[in-house]
Amino acid sequence: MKGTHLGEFQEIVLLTILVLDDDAYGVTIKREINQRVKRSISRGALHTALTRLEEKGFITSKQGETNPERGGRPKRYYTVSNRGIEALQEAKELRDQLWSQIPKLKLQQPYTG
Amino acid sequence: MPESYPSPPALYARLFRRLCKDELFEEIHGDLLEEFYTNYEEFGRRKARTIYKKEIIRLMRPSVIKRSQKFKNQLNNTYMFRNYTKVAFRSLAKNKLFTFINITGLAIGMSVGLLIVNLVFDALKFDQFHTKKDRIYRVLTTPKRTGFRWDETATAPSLLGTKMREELPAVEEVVRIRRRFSGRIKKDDGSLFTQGIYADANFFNVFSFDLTQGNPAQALSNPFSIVLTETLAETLMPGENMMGRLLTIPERGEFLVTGIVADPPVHSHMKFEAIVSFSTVKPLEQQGSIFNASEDWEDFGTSYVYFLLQDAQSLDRVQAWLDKAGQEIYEPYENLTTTFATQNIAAIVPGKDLNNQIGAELIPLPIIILSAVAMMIVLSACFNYTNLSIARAMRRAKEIGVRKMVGSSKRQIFNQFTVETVVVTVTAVFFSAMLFTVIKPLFITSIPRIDLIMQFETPPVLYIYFLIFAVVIGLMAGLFPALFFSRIKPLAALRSGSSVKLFSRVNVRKALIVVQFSISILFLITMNVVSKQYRYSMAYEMGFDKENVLNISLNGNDATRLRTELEKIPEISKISASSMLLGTGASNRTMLKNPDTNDSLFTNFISATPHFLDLHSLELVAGDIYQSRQPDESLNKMVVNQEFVRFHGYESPQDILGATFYVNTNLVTITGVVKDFNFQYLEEPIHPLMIFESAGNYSFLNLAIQGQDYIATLDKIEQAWEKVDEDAELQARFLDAELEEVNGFLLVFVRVFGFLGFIAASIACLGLLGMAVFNAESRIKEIGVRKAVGASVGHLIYLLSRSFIKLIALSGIFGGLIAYFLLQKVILAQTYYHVNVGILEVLSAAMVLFGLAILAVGSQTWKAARANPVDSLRYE
Repeated sequence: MKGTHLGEFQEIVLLTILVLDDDAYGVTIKREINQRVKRSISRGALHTALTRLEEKGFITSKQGETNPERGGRPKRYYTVSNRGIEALQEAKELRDQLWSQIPKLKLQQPYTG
Repeated sequence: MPESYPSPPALYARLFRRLCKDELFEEIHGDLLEEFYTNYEEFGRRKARTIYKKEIIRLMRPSVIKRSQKFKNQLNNTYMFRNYTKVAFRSLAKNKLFTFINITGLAIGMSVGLLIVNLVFDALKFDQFHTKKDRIYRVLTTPKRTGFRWDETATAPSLLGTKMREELPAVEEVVRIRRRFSGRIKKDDGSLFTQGIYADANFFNVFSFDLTQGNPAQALSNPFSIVLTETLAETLMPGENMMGRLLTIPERGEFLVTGIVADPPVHSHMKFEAIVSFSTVKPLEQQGSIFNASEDWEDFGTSYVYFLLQDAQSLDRVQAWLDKAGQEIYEPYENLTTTFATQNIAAIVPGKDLNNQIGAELIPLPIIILSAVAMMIVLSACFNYTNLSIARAMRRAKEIGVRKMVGSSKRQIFNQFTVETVVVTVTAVFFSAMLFTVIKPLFITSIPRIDLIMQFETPPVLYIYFLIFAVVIGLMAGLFPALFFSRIKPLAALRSGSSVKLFSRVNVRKALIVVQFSISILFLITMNVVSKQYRYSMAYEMGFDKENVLNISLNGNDATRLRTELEKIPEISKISASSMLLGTGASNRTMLKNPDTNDSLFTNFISATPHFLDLHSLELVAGDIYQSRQPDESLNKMVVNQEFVRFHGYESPQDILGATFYVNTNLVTITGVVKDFNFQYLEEPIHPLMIFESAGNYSFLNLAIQGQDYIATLDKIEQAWEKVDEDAELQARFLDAELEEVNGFLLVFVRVFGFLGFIAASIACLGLLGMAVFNAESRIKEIGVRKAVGASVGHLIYLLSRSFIKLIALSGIFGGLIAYFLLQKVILAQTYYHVNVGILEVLSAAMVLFGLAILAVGSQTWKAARANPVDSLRYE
């Protein structure tokens, strides 16, 4: 399944891009993940994930406007492609399916013996 | 306002610009800057910068970093290396003989290399255990007296230490150490002889010897305190705590045990069994039981001055102070100036050749020689590899041609051959590690007493060095062939019959063979010459009788008492007591003053009882031997040698009789002249010598033994010894055995060089064998044709081995010349009485090597010359 597998972090990134809608670029994606998922990720880690997702065709990107707040450098906006949405849905379905097949959910008693 | 934006850390920004892929930089750096500004406002400058730096570092990942142009061409590096390794194994398996020769040669060569690496590693470990080693120095002294050889000594006047402590603030601590504490410690059943040093109270503060019991600051402060080593404490009273006990040492006093110290490590330049407080020196001097030296600026031989610098930079100031002090102190002395120098504790062993060393001595020269020799042997093994690889070029040229046609670059061919070499060397290093474990104990046992200064531990980290060593060797050996192969022109290689062109490198190969054989012959000649020197030294007519003279070490016992006991033994015809043994290299010197001219100079002397001369069959050429002195009589008569007569300008021995000289403060008359003899070791020419009697200065009894039954006589001597000293073992040796041991180091030399010569020769012959095989194989068709046309076997052998014989003859000449100059001018020149490098030693070494070479070449040539031409020409 190499090539189309959706990793856990990549899934979070995809969802975050969807949440951010039109305003999804490096800084906002990173901030969003840091706030919502409560984990501190580096720009480098995010870059790797974005590159992989783009390689797999799950997201597309386009160059945006420049901004003095960025030292005059252009932004790159990311949008989730249809394949990306499909992949997200597949992943969700797989989980739902698994959830629905659990016979009876109970929390394990902590082992005391 | 963009101008007012703060700037991110410039270095990191630039680094990122440099390393980031161009197409990514704009976007990512934009993000980083935006974030940086936000953070700047939120957390302030410092935190923002820290976060920025962290981000940059985390961005250093393959997907972001630019690839260099070089890397782009080798995207499939790992695959290629896998392929190189595969090809390397295949080609090695195909040429089993070459592989065997290469691996064996390299393994033998490297095992010697490993041995030397181990040795050097060991020698460099000396005194590294002192935690303050960077700041610990000692003072070296060069006393310069007119008319006397100047030697630098490790010792210094102890007064200098005191002065230094008072006047020099750049020095944190001064430790005065006096050598030669000795005495017999009384114990319940008898007594135990022990030796050690006297040291100042701050000894344990400066040196990192491990005081296991006692207070390091206090242990050596009071007079008559003694610190014992664990071994000594254990021998004195096994299993008991020695702390706080009183030890009685006759003629010295009662000593309180104030500490127990771990035995000094093997890698300490200082060795001791016990340490006595330096404050004990004064009382002992006053009671007259040790030599009075501590108040004497002319005492250059009993004490050491070590000091601890405040900081490592202040050494210049100390040296300046020492220069000035040396001038001021010795101003009032006639005929004497003194200079002081300093030496760091880590530079003592291996280090300068100094007089009066406190313990282990190791001058760097033998280590350098051994390293050079090991390097030569390893190089020789490398040459084999290089040579055989190039020789194989003809066969592999086609392979390389095809590779190049298909598109491999120079670099790839180079890599392939380098990988092949590394495979060979790494295999060889495993074999050499095995060999190493075999030759290491052999080496250690062949050098007597090496265990005193060498531990020969092989710590695991050394194996890592070995592996690095091997890979470096491999790269060295493989570099030339790899370069050579990578340059082969594909067209020339693939065109049939043109491969002869490849042999433009043939001269390099010849040169390498000549170097190898020259090295081997050098070692063999060295072995021959040194063993000749050994035989010469042993047979040298020293001018005295060394047969049947038995010497007994007095070990502090009373000479007269032992003598009266020994006189009862009928087999002992003569007995004398003396301060030293003849011909062993020991020498005593004292001040001699001419009363007429007032010139004074140090002169060799032997103090001995009158019988010493006739016991050693020393011949008098004029006058008579002095008579035994009466107890109340002061020193007033002596015998001198002929050299003394010549040196002091007398015409004939008769003239000097009755002349008087001051020996120290005594006016002494010359009563006789003895014929010159080699009283020192053969390194030195015969110097002027005085022989006189001075009781209390005797260390040995010399006995002339009659009859053949030595064992029975020795038994009787032993019984007599036991009456005088019930504890210590009798130490008795015949003079000729003693001299044999003195010359023993030459035998070690012979053994080591014989071993190295053997190894160098076998590596060289292995290489030659490979070349002969190759030569015969590549000329097989030529031989076939020649034979078919009618050449005889003899002619073919001549044809095939001619070039090799020439090379070996050439190496014989080279090696012989180098050996001649090296031995005659450098090694042998160190000894006054030495042999010369003779034609016989050179020829016999050459013959041995020649024989081996003929064997290696001949076996292959013989096979090739006898082969049936039909077999080789069948396919034409």
